[in-house]
Amino acid sequence: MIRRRNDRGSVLVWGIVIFSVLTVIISVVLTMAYSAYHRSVDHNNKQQAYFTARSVVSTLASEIKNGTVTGAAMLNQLSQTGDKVELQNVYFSPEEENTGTVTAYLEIMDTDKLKIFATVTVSGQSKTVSVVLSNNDPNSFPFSLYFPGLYISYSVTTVSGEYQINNDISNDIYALDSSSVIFLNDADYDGNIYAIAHSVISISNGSKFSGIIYAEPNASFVILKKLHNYFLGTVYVPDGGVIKVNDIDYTITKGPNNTVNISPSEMDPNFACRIKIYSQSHSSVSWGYAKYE
Amino acid sequence: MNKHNIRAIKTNNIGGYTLTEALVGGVLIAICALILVSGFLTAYSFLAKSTLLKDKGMLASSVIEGATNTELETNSISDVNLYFTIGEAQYASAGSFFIVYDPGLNVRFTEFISNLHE
Repeated sequence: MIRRRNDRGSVLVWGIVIFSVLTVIISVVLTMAYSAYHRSVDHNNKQQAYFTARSVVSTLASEIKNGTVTGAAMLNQLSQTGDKVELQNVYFSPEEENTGTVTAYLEIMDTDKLKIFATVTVSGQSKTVSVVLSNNDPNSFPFSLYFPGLYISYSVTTVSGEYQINNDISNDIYALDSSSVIFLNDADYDGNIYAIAHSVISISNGSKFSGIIYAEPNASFVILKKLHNYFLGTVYVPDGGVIKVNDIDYTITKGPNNTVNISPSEMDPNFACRIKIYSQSHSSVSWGYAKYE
Repeated sequence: MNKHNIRAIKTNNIGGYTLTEALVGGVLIAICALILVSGFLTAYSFLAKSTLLKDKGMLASSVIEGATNTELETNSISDVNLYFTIGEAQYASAGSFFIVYDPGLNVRFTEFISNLHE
């Protein structure tokens, strides 16, 4: 008996094999090509998202740097480090196709740093742009978290021990923790005093004053006898701050119609009427320097 | 010779295959070739368009950044506002759109330019 190899139908098998291999090859090539095409489309969408985000950030920065009403409205929402305000319903009108959907917010990073973020999504592609605005005055530094927008010149006299103010003194004073600033009887001072917590300011009865004292909470005042009639300067305290006057703690809060509540109420009335609540915000700062990220 | 072998010899024999087998094989090869060619052409078309989109996108970006290019069209739309809301209050910032686009391709970049100086 002769054994023969049965080849009948093998063309069909070969055809199926070749067809399958080709299908796989074509699928791979097409997938790769389509993926490359999609990457280009996505890249352009991402680029548009970047342009829109940059536009939004740049516009908001301009509003703030130019001190406009809109800029002030944003800054008024921010009072201390970490405060964040989210802008809602951000859109352009008239609309332009493909500008994407925008979310934006502002955050106080530090007393002298404000960050603006904008994230834009265009056809599923997102991009975030941020800018840090900072006070561009290289000759000053922020005083305190309790006094947003208040900057001290580097030329200030920094006091760490005891410092006496007499008739000749007119320079600004930066009183550090545990330091002591003494108004002598002959003082006629019209400068600014920046009093850090636990600094002590002693006022003699003959001393005249027409400047400003910015007092952090826990700063202390010692009034020797009584204030001179020409002790007419202002003492700024943050809302809710506690200052010590002649060893008594007084809580200073904002009352209705810009009045000042002092609790307890026994404070020397001549000194009490000199106290005001510090109400400036970051809007008073010149946000001149912008750094895009 | 048995009965089966006699039948095989009787039909037209092309290189050892029957006519039917040759026809089916030929058609299959033609279909495969067609799929192969059209697949590669489509892939090439995607790749070509991808490169074009990328190149034009880069050109358009450079025009947004201030470069000049004659291949692309530009357009400006004034009196545009950027609106946003803080709490209940709505604010607006005025400016204009600067648009760079390629008329033949789906490449179009838009930038909003504030009226305020930065």
